[in-house]
Amino acid sequence: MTTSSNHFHDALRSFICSRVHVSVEMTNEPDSTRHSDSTSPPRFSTDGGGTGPQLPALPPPNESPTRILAVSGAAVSSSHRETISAMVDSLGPDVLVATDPQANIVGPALNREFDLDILEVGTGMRPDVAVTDDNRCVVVALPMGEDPLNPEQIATGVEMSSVGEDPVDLATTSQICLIDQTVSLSVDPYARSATLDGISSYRGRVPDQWWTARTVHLSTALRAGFTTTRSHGDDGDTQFVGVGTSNADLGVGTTADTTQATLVALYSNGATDVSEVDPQKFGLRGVPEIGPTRFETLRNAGITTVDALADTPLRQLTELSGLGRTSANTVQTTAEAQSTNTVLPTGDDSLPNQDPVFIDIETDGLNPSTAWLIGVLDGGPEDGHYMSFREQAVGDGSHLKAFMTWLTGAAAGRPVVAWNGYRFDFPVITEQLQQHHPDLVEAWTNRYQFDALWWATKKNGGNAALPGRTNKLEHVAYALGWEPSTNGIDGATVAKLYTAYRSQVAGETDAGSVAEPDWDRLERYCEDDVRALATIYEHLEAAARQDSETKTPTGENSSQGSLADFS
Amino acid sequence: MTDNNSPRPEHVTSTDTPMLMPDGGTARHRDILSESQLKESFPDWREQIRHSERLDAQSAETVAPESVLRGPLASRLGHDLYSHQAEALDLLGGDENVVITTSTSSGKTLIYQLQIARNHIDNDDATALCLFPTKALTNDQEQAMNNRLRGELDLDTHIGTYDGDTKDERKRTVRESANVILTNPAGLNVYLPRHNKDRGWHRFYSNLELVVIDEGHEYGGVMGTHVAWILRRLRRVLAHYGADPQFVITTATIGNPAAHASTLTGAEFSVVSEDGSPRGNRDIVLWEPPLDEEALEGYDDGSGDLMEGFEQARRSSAREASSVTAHLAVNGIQTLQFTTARQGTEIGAKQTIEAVRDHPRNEYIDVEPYHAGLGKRKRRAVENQLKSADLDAVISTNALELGIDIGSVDATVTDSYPGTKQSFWQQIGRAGRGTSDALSVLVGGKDAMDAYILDNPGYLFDDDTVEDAVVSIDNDRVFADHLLAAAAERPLTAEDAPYLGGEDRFREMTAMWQDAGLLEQAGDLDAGGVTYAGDRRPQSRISLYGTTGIDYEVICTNGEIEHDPVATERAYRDYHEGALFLHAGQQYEVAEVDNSQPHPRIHVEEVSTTHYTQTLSTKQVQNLEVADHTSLADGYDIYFGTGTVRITYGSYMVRDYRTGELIDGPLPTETPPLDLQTELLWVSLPEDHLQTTINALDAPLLEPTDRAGDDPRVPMEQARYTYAGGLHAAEHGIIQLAPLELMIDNHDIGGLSTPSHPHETIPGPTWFVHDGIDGGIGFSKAIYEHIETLAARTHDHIADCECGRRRGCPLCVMSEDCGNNNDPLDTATGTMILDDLLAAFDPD
Repeated sequence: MTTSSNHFHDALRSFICSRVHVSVEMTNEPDSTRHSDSTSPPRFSTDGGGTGPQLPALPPPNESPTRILAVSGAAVSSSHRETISAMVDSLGPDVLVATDPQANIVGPALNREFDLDILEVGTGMRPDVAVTDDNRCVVVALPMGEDPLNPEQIATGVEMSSVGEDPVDLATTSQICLIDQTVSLSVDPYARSATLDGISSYRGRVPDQWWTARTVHLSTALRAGFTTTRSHGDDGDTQFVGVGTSNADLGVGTTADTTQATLVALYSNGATDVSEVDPQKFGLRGVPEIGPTRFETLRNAGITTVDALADTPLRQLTELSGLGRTSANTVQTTAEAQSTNTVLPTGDDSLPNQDPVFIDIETDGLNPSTAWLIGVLDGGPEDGHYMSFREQAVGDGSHLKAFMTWLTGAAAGRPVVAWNGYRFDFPVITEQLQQHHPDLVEAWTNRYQFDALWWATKKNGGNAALPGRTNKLEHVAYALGWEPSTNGIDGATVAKLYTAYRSQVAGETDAGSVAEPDWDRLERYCEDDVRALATIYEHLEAAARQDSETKTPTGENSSQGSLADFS
Repeated sequence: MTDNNSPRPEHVTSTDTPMLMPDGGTARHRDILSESQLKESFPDWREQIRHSERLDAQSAETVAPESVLRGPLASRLGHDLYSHQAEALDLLGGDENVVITTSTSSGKTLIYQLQIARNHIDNDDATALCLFPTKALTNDQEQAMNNRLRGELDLDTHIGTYDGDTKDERKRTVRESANVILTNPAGLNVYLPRHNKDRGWHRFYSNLELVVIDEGHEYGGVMGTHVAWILRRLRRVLAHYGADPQFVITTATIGNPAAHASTLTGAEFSVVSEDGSPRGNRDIVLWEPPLDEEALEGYDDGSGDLMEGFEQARRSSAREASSVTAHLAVNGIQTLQFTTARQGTEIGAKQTIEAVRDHPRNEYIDVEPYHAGLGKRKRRAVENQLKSADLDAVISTNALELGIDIGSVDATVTDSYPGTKQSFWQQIGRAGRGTSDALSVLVGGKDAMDAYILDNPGYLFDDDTVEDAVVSIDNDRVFADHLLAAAAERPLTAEDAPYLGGEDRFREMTAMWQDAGLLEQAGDLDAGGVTYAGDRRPQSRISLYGTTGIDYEVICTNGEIEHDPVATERAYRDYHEGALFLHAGQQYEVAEVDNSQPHPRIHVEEVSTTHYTQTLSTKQVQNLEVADHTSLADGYDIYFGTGTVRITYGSYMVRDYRTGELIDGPLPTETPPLDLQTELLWVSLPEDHLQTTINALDAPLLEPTDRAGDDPRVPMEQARYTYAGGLHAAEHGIIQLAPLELMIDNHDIGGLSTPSHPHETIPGPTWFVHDGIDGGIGFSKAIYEHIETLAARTHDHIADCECGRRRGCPLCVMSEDCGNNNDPLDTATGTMILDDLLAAFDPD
C-alpha cells in the first residue's frame, strides 16, 4: 500500500497537463500548451466575463458526460423521500453534491437510499473525493478553512473511491472537478461592477497542476446556471459554474424563487451544460394536481409511484384525491401517459386536417433579435424531408424570403406547426419579417399557425397527456422513444455560440479570420428538433384518433393503426 | 379637467334670506366673512383672520380657432380658443414638444384633444398614447375624449383604455384598432415588453405621433424616477419602429417646467404658462386658529413629554376648519373642505355638524366625507351630489385635487397648508364656477410651514417663484433594473446609448450585467447586440414605489384594505409591529411583518382607536464619498455625496391624537437595522465651533430632560447638551422648511446631527440631510443646491417664532418625525449656528 501511495504522490506532483486540449474545438489557432508556472504569482483579470477570442465549446459528439447533481438540504427536507428518489433515478447522476441551505442533512437523508457519492463542501478537515464509475472524472469538494489542498489526502480519497482493481491515475484522468463554497459574485450597481470574490484565496488552495483548462470549478456560492470564465493571463482561463444560491444583488433579473437543485453535465473538453431542476416535479409529484397533501393521502393508501397511480381504479382515485371525476380522469391519464411513455387523449379538439409543416427556429436567445436558422420538416419523423433555411451572412434576411417562398408555394394551405410556437417561434418570425421583408408579413400572418404544445396542454383545458420529465420538446420526444443524432446541445448553447460568433464577425475586418462554428452540427441539432416535433405530432394524431374512436359508437372510421404501431 | 362652460346650477337653500345676488356674489361672500358679520355670527370669534388677499377677476384672452386650426376642425369646434391653447397648438404645429402649466380648469385637455384630432385628419392611421396617474382619471378622460372627438368634432377616432381593468377581449380590440390608447405608467411598464408579442402593437407604435402625459408634476421622487426610465424605454423602442412622436405634458404650476419635462422624458420642451382663461374675483383668507396657552405648559421644565401639549393645540385647527365650513354652509355657500390625513374625513364631517349645532343659524346641512377608500359607487354618488348641488359641504382628502370632474363649488376651506404651492392652488382652483367669484380659506395648522406662511403671506401671493418639481435619474440601482427591462424588450445596441443613460453609463452598466450573467456575456453592443439572459419578465419585478425591488404587500386579516405596496424604507419606519395608522378613513394596527417569504408582507388589522404611533430611531452615517463641495469661509464647508445610513427603528411611542397625550412607550419594535446606500449633504462646522458658540451664548444653558438621561447618545453635560440642541434645531429647521422651495416630500428625507464624525472632511460638529430611499432620489441634492436660501429662511423663521421658547415648538423646530422625540432642541444656539453659516457664505 505504501508503495502505491508513493506512486500516487509522485504522479500528483508531476501531474502536468502536457497534452492539454484547448477547451475549444473551434479555433484555428495552434494548440497551445498551458503550463501553470508556479513561480510567478497568478494575475487575475476579473474585468469582463467574456470568453475572449474563442467560441464557446460544444461537447464532443456522442460523449456521455459526467453528471453532477447539486441539491440543497432544504429541498430534501421539504420533499417526500419518494420524490427525491424519483428525481435521482430519473436524472441518473454520477455524484451528488449537498448545498445550502442545510447542506448537512443531505448526506444522512440520502446515504442509505443511493449508492452514490454524496459530497459536502466546507466540512471536515479533509477533502471529500469521488471518482465517477468510468474513472474518467475526479470530483473534489474542498474542506473547510483556507489551507491548500493536500495532495496526499486527495490521493487517499481517490483510491478509496475508485472502482475496480486499478486505481485511478490522476495524470491521465481526463477531468477534474473542484467544488468550493467561497467563490461568489458581488454586484454593485453604484460602482457599476460585478466581480468574483474569493478567487485569490481559492487559488491559493488549488495545486498549480490543477489550475488548467481541464479543471472545472463549481461553487455553491454562485447561483445555479451562472457560468463564467475568468482569464488569468499566463495562468490560463478558468471556468466557474454556479450550483447554489447567491446573495448577489441581481435586481429584477432573477425571481425571488430559489432553485433547489442543479444538474451539471461535464464533458471531457471542458464544455458544460447546466440545467435547473425542480425537485418537486418527480415521481407522483410530477403529475399535475398532485400536491403535497394529495401525495400523502395517496401514499397512505399505498400508492407511491406513477405506475401505481395509473393502475388505481378511478372511483378510488376520486375518493382519495377529492378531485371531481373529470379531473381525476385527467390525472390518471397523465399518470398513465408518464408510466407507459405514450401520448393519451384528454380532450376532443381535433388537429388540423392537412399535412403539417414542422418548423423550429434557432435564435440568439429567448428575447431574440434574429432567427438565423429556420429548420423545416416536410413529412414524418423518419422519412420526412428536412430543409435548412439559414442566413447567408450575419443579419441578412435572405433565408426568410426563401422560407416564405417555399411556404407559399409548395406548402400552400398547410398548417405550420411548432412547439410553443404561439409564444416564441411565430411572433419571432413575424418580427423578423417586419424587419427584413415587410411585404411578406401578411402572407405569414394569414397562415394557419398551429402550436402543438398549446393544443395538448392548454386549448380547452388540454387535449393530450404527455409523457416525459417536463413538457420541453426534447423531454417529451425522448420519452416517446425518439433519439437525437447529436447530443449535448440545447437551444441556449446554440444561441450563445451564435452570439459569440456574431460578435466576432462584426469586429473583424477580415471575415475569413473568424473561426466558423460547426454549422453542420448545429443544423443537425435543429433537424433533430423538428423530427422530435414530428414524432410527438404523430402520437398526438394517434391519440386524437383513439379518442374519436371511442366517441363514435358505430366505429365507422376508416382503419386506424393502434397505439402499438407507433411505439 | 374639462372646460366647464355650463351655466351655474341654482343653489337651493332653506333660509328665508335671498342668497343669490345679481352679480353672482362677491358682495355676499365678503359679507359673510367681513369682520363685523363675523363678530356677530361666528361662534368663537377671536380675530382669526390674519390676512385677506383679493385676486382680481381676469377676462378671457381668446383667439379665433381658424387662425390656428384648419378649416373643418375650426368650424366644428364652434367656439374660440384661449390664448394659451392657441399658443400650445401653434408650437405643436411647429413640431415642438410642449409642457403646459396653466391653472386648473383652464382647458389644458382641449389642447391635446385638438392635436389628436389634427393628426387624425391628416392621417387616419395616426395614433396617440395618453398616460394618466390614476385609473379614475383615465376613465374620466376616456369619456371626455369620446365626447369631444367622436361627438363634437365628428371624427372617426377609436379611443380605448388599456389597463388592469380592461378585459382581454377588449384589450385585443384596442391594440389592433385604437387610434388613442389611454393607460398609466405602471401599465406601460408591463405592456411595453409585449410590443413584439401581441398583435396590434406594431401598428400602434409605428404610427405613434403623440404622447400625452397628464398631471406631470405628480411624477417626482421615487415614482418619478421610474416613470422617467419607462418613458426612455418607450422612446427607444419607438425609435426601432421608426416613430418619433411629439410630447405634450400638462402640469400644475411648478418652478421648472421645462427642466422637469426634460428629465422625465429625455426630450426638449417649450413652455406655455400664460393663462388666457377667464376667472372671477377670488378672495383668499388666511385664518389662524387661536393658540391655547394652557396646553403649552409643563414642558419647559423638562418633566413632561415635549410633544403632548402641541397635539391638543394642533387639534384646534381641525375644529376651526370645521367651524368655518359650517359657517359657510349654513349661509348657503357650497363648500369643499380639504383636511389632513390624521383627522380623517369622517371625523371632519362629524365635527362640521357639531359646529353647525353651535352656530346661531342652526340649520340642517348635508355633509359627506370623501376619500380614496370609499367604494367607487359611493365616490361617484358624492361627486354627482356635489355637481347637482344636493350637498352643502364635502370634507375631503387630497383625493379630490386631481382633475376628477366634480364641477365647482363656491368655496374651499383648507385645514393646514397642504405642503406645496401647487397643491394649494389646485385646491383653491376648485372654488368658483366659471367666471363667478370664489372664496378660499386656509386654516393654519400647527406646523412650521403653516406658521411661516401665516407670518409671511407674501410667500403665497407676492412671490413669483413656485416650488421646483424634483425628479432625478441618477439612482444607478433603478437604472440598472430598467436596463435589464430594456434588454428584454429588445437586445441592447450601441444606438440605445442616448436613450439609456448616455455612453459611459450605458456601457458600464451593460458590462456589469454581462459580468453578472444577466446579459449575454458573449454579446457585443457594437456587433450584433447584447441579449437579455436573466429570468423572464424582469419588468414585472419593477416596483414603482421603491428602488430595491422589494416591496411589502399590505394585507388586512380582518377586513379589506386597498393599499399600495410599501417600499422597504417606509415599511421599516412606519409599518413595524404595533404601528397604528390611518388609511383611507380607517384605522389599522400592524399585527405582523412577515419577512420569511420572497414577497414580504405586512399583516394589518382593522381597529377602532384614538391612538397613533411615532417611531424613534438611531442613525449612523458611514462610507462617505464626496461628489461635490462648496467651500465657505474659515472652516465652514458643505458637501454633497453618497454614504451608507444605518437606521435602526428600535422603539416607538403611542399617543392619543385628540390630546397628544403619551399613552405608552418607548416600546421595542424588534426591527433589524436598515442600511441605506443613498445620497446626502453635510454641513461641516469648524472644529471649535461648540466652544465659540457657547461662549457667545447670551442666554442660560439648557438642562437636560429626564428622557435625555435615559438616552446614551444625548450628552448630559449642559454646554454640550445645549449645543447639540442647536445643531439638531438647525437640522430640523432645514428639513421642515425645504418644501417651501422644493417639491419634495419630507417624509422621504431624514437628518442626523452630531458633534463629531470620523470622516476626514468633518473636523468638528456637523449635520446631515439624506434621502430616505435607497440609491437616492434627488431630494438632498436639491436641498444642497438651494442651501443658502433655505438656511436664510430657516434662520429667520426660528428667530422670529412667536412661541419664543428655547426648546421651540412644532411651528419652528419640532417635528413629529423626529426619531429622538425632539430632544435636545435649542432655538437660541440653533439660530446662532445658522447665523454663522450664513455669514460664511459671504466672501467678505
